[in-house]
Amino acid sequence: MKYAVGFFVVAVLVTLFLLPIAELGFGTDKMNDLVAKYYISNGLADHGAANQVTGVVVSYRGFDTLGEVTVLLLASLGVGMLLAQRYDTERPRPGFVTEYGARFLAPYLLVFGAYIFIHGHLTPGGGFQGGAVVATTLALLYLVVMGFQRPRALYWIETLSGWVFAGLGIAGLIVSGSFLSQIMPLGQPYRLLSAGIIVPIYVAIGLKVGIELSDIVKYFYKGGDQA
Amino acid sequence: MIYYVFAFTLIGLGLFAIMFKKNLFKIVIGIELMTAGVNLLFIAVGFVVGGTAPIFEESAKFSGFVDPVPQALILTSIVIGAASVGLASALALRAGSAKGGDLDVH
Repeated sequence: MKYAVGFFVVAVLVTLFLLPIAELGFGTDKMNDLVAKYYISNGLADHGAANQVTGVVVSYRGFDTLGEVTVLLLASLGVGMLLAQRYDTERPRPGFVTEYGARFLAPYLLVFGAYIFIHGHLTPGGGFQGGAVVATTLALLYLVVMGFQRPRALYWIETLSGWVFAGLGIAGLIVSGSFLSQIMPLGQPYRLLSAGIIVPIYVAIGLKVGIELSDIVKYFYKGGDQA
Repeated sequence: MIYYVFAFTLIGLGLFAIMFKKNLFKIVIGIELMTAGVNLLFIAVGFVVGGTAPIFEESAKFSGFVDPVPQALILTSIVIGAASVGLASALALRAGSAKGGDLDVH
């Protein structure tokens, strides 16, 4: 009875919200000279990235993305604090094929993740997507390789990536008076070395997101112990 | 249009799970369902018939893009969703182990 009433209430609520949205129409161009039109017509000249989503995320809304990376860092710190006292429980040892299959795949997956975040300004993807692939690789290794430890250098890389992002922002503040402004040459569009500060920022984001997301996975396995 | 209906169905199912499920992990799954529904709704609103992904290509002629702004917003939303689900399940695990493995809310 409670379920039925609840289901009915939710259904009515959802329909009430759906009706005004449905009036918008599906598939019609809703950009009429608003911000999206500006982004599309001026994007290539403003930030030089072929991928306009990357342009919006890293260039026009770069400050917002810095906040987003901070949220991810805080969440991973929170998970580490909450699960600090858990220890790895007994797990059955994975089979030979599983373990060595994962070890064989891992470098290729890492290269694929790196490709996605290095080419974030040219092809679909970017720092967050590539970081997710890197984190998936590390999660796979945690899952099947007994006693897997990440190299300690990753902690320094994560810190350094955060500083690269914030440092480029502050450098823009010093050089041209606004945070995260384009201080590097835009170069020729559609080339790997183009789009100025977008490439170093997205590489930094990719490394940072990959290491932080795998931190979260690690805490669920082992708790916040050493390394 | 069917995408709007589907997105709102996901949101409704998530809301239902949050309100009526007792198990903490099912509540976390409800939050994740709502996030997925909102993400799908934004992407569906930004879709334009005949539009391609908002990426310029050197060789291809420009022929209309879908709206890049909702896609950029949802990129943020997915990352925040992943972070919040990680934190929420850590909290749920902690609350469960404080009560001796009991994951239900009463």
